[in-house]
Amino acid sequence: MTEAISLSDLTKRFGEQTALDRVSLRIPTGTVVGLLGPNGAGKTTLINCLTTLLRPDGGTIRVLGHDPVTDPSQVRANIAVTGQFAALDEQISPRENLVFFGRLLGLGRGEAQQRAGEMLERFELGEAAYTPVGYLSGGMRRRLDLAVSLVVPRPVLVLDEPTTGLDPRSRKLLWDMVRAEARRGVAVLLTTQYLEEADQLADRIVVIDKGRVLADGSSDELKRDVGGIMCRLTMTSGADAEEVRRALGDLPGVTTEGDKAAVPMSRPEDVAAVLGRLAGTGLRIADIEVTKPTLDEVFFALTEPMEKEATR
Amino acid sequence: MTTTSDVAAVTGAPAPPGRPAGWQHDFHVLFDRLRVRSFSRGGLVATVVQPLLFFAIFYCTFAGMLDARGIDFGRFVTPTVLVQALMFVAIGSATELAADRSSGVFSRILTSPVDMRAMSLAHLAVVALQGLLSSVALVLAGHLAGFRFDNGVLAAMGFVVFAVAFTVALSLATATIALRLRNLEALSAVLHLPYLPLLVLSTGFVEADLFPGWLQPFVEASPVSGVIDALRALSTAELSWGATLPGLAWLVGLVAFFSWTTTVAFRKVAIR
Repeated sequence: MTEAISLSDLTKRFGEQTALDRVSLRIPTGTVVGLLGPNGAGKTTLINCLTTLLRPDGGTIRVLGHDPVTDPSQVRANIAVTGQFAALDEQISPRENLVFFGRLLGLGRGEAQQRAGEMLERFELGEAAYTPVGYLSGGMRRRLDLAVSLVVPRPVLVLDEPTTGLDPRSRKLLWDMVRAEARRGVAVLLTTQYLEEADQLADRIVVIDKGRVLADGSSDELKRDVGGIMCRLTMTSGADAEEVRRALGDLPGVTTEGDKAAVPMSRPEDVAAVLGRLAGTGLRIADIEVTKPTLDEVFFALTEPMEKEATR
Repeated sequence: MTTTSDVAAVTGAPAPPGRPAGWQHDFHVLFDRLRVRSFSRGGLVATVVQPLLFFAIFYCTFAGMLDARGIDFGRFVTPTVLVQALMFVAIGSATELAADRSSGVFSRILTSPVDMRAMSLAHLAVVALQGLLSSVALVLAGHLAGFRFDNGVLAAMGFVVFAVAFTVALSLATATIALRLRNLEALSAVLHLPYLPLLVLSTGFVEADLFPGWLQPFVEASPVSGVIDALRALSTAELSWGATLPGLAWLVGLVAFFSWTTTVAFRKVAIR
């Protein structure tokens, strides 16, 4: 049994609103799964259900075979959680936070002290070890938050937008750490709004929006699904943004921004159709490029149709 | 992922921790953190310095006036200032609880394999400790102003136990509010609002028959009056069951009722 986390048809409603709509997801041990979605997509609700903070309305969740609803203490013993905001006691020092949570998770007093020392070093927090957390910078807090989550190694790691507000150096430290944990066999579920982060870290990416899974696959698979290639156009300076949108806006999956447009397509020959559309207009092409789509473009292509639907 | 790497991953994975350590262990760890906090500089200002300051201010304001009417300030007002201090302990403990909720520490503890009973017990045990600290500080200060225990060690211990129990009862009430209200400003307002009317509209500073007629029933029936009267009875020569009974009844009632409301509020927060 290598399935660390499995969700099937997970549903959660808040009154009239459906926050999660039959979400299914599998995370084997040693894999990083990136949960990608805009604000309000249901990412945090999913994590709260998984980590025993919310009771789902339907579907099943298993964490190493344990059900968070009927057996929450076993689930809690197996998951390390880092929430969207640093969850630390601000009145005490980083060292005291680490010792407190280490002991809470079953370490003896001496053992917890020793682990705290190791974590402070690993997360480059040595110089702030005795400063009350309330005085630390945002980046340091975030690192400490993660250190606290890892003070006692557990087989499942859940990270909710861990790099929001982190400087590049701290982000690199965090990414390296996530990779190291996965290599040790930890199953990692990571939510993010940053596509680059998902691209860099995740073995598999699950895109969700409005509580529904829109896509599930590797970064390459998602790019292929959306449209194998992307045609990027830049018009000559002075081109009217409205005119660009009029000419190309109704092509499936297209994104336009000022004098630029990106059109997903399945075959290179489709470029001809795009050029045909421009022929009748006053628009002149300054630059044309045919490449694989970026993950950003995949994301927009996946989430935008739903948004249009909602505003109609 | 191939089968071989799956096997490697499984053997390399951290072993799930063993059985949870039991509620006594959890209680110790949780209690330690809160205890360290309450003995910090800020904590001691709230439980010791502030009550002493209030005591000094009340002494300067009222001692001469009460003396002129033949009332001993130390004996009459020490229990009142103590009750006031205990109200602040209860308000402070709720504020700390709310801070833990808003900082996310509460959720982090809830997602750890921690016994829920230990969480509540640790909170109440630290409240009791703070109540004890305030009681000792004020009894010592009161001693300088003429406060004495006339009924021996047992009654003196009864006095302290009563004060500590009252702190726990109040903190159960404030904990319910802290678990219900997410907004910190609203919480602060709701916690501080009832304190002054409850304290002033009691027998704490003025005897009940000196209040306007329509207020007298409220003053006489008030839980704060009951508790202050009981504390006075336990410390002065006129110790009788009759004088302690209303306070004791309020205490039992408050603990029973607010234990229930706190349990309900806690469950709502912990298991949604």
